[in-house]
Amino acid sequence: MTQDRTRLLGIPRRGAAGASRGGGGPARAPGMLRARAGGLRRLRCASVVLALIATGAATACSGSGSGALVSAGRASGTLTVATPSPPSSLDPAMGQPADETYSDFAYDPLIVQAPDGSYRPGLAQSWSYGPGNESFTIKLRPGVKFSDGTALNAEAVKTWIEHEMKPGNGGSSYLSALKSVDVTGPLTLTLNFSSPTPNLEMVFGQILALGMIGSPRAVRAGTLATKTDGAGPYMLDPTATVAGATYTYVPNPYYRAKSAVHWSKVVVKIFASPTAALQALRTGQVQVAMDQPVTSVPVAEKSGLRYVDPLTLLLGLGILDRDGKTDKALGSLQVRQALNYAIDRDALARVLGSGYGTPITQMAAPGWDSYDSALEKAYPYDPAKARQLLAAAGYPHGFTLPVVSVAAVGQDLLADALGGQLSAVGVIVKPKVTTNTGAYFQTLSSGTYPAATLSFGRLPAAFDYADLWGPTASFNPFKTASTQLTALDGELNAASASAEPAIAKQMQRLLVSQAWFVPVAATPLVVLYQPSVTGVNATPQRNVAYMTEIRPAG
Amino acid sequence: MTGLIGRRLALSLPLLLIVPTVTFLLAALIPGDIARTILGTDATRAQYEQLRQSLGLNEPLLTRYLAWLGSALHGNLGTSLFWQQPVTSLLDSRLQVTLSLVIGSTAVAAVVGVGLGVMAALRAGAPGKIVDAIALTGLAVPNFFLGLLLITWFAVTLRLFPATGYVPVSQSPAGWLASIALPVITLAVPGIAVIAKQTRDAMREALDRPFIRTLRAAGVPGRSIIGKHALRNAAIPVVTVTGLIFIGSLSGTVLVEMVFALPGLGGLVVQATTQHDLPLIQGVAVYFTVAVIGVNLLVDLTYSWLDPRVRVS
Repeated sequence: MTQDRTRLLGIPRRGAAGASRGGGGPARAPGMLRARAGGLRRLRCASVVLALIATGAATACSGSGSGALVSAGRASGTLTVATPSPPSSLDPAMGQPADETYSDFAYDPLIVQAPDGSYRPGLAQSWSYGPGNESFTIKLRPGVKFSDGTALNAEAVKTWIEHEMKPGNGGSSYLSALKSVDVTGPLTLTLNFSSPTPNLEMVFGQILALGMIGSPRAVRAGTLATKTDGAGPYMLDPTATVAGATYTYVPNPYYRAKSAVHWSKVVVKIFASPTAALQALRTGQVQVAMDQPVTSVPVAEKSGLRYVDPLTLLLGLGILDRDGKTDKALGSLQVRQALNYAIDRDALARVLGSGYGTPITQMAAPGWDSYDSALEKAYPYDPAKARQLLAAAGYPHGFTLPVVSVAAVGQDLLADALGGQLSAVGVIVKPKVTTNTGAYFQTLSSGTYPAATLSFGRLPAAFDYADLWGPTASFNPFKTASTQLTALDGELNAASASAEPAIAKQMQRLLVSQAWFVPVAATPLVVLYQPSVTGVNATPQRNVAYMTEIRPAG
Repeated sequence: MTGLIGRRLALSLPLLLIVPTVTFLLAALIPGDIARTILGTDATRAQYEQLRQSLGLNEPLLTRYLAWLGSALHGNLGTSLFWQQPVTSLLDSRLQVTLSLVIGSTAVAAVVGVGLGVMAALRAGAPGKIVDAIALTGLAVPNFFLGLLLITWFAVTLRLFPATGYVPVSQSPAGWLASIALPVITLAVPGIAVIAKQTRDAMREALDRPFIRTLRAAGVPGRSIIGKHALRNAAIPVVTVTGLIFIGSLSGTVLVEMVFALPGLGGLVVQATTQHDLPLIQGVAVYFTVAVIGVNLLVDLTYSWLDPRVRVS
């Protein structure tokens, strides 16, 4: 399901016989000669091998040093990007978080979100909302072609939206209120919704990727999962691609703006080990390393590398059974508040963020529209008060709290840390740490665990409602509903852009007062890059780098 | 010889059935499923069920296994559920990397290990202790840690080798050699330790045997005694260990491929397991089983070459 790549877990969404013969030569003069000759041959062989290695190393390392690599990279015009995980699908409609690293190169979006957060024309020349945010009209840029030579027109966009609306694809989440798509001209179309649907710029931008349109011919052929066919600057070269390991892109001959094609070749390589990615970056084998742990920053800095580290991931405990259906204790507001008071967020933020984390008391980070700095004082670290609240709620000796977690992006560490701190007030955390995200989601959504460790990226508040705290949200398996929150969500969807932050803050205040979550820390997800490239832009306003902005420095 | 090969192959064939069957059952026990991995968190129950249906995951385990087995017997290992590509093409694209690593490291381990072992057997005292020290160190240092050290020294500091990545031999033989040098050394070190120790012990035992004294008494040159007679007699356990090291290296590649970011089968099997991609897991199991059968056959042939009595038996 197409989502913000930074979202959710930050993961990765979107012998012996020879010796016998040689040593057994008779000790006669000719034999000695043979032995010497054999020795010389071996020496020559060894020399050849060493020379080969040296030559190979020289070849392989010629572009390896930072300086050497810069010139090699420019001469060859190759951009090599390291990323921690392979794409779940190359089809932008079907990908998971982080798959955009792959789709950015091949698919231009309808609308481009700039680093300052503003929206600019992409494949769409202009767009506008209808009354009450219940319709959205798009006018396409003329003269655009997909990499298979097919022209981009309104029918192609309609075909794509229909593709997005198929079960399991991104549209079914973000365009759930879509009623119809009316093609009103060769290059114009209008989307009609059954209820107010704001934030469509983000939906059709590169972050949520629903506007990354694929060729209708490829959609019909069903080939997009394994090859690209978009209107972006590059296209996949299947002959130089090893699925799950290396993805090679070459320029799209039909691309509309040749000046925006900065590289003659782009290679995206999977580095499962952050250490390997860092070493490859230090030796110049790659120029950009996406989604790296913050622990890599000190070494990167010492090596003269650069980095961007927007606060991206919110880590915390999600109280799932807010009505106390299976865990009676959690149905008590006092208990939920006690859990919030029992957490030393400063200490945990230091550990979880390796010194780069920021403690948070709300499900938003500084710089986000919904962030309310006043809320940061809501739950100071106060174990005595936590014990008092637990006693008042009828749990003077605490209780046992089963928590589902996953061994990814520090969630397992978070579960351990929470267990340590909550035990001080008598709450015994019983973590079930799954080894993969599939099992984690399955367990979480099954409603068998009353709480879960969570990590989230940034999305507009309306999406947070749909994903996190609304009654149909996937992270609300017990379907807890709040009339106040639902009313605020309705207001938010119909509000103007300038009014949205105030409503989003109100939602945060309500959530904090009800203590549905135990937010702990906002941690950065780092992009490291060599000084030889520029355009690695991740900012508080747009905390995801857009791959096609990366170009040679200078 | 042909008869020997035939007999060995016939005895090995059941493995090709047993290993994938056991793998199938074990993989089916892993919690979670690929439909959830593909769909992520936001999918509805209906979407999830639809995908499970389309992937055939709702079929009984036995039905799925028999379907896979039927295809496999016709040489078709199926299509990866996750990658939507033929399993054989996914595996073949990565086979060269893993074979380069495993064959290279086994060869290095055998040559260096036997050399050190013979040296230690012939020269008591310091060389023997050195071999012991190397053996202990080689076994004690985890290969991922050794790999990181080698990268830091030889790639980052000295810039002699590339830190990561693989160059196909068809693209550049020299580049290929450079790209596998550090991973091969990393993977070979524990093998060197084991083979050196095994060779030293076997050589000492062989050198103490009466026929060696007889050969010495008959005036046969020392080098001939060592190379032609003692080593040949000591070779059988060494060959056995070398075969085991080759087989062990197949699993050892998982970490080494990760540390050096190599696109081999080890990384693929980890991905396939976390993604619950059963056809791909099965495919890897078949490839690894074939490799194990091939190595065991080679070991048996080496035995018969070293000791003619094996052919007779």
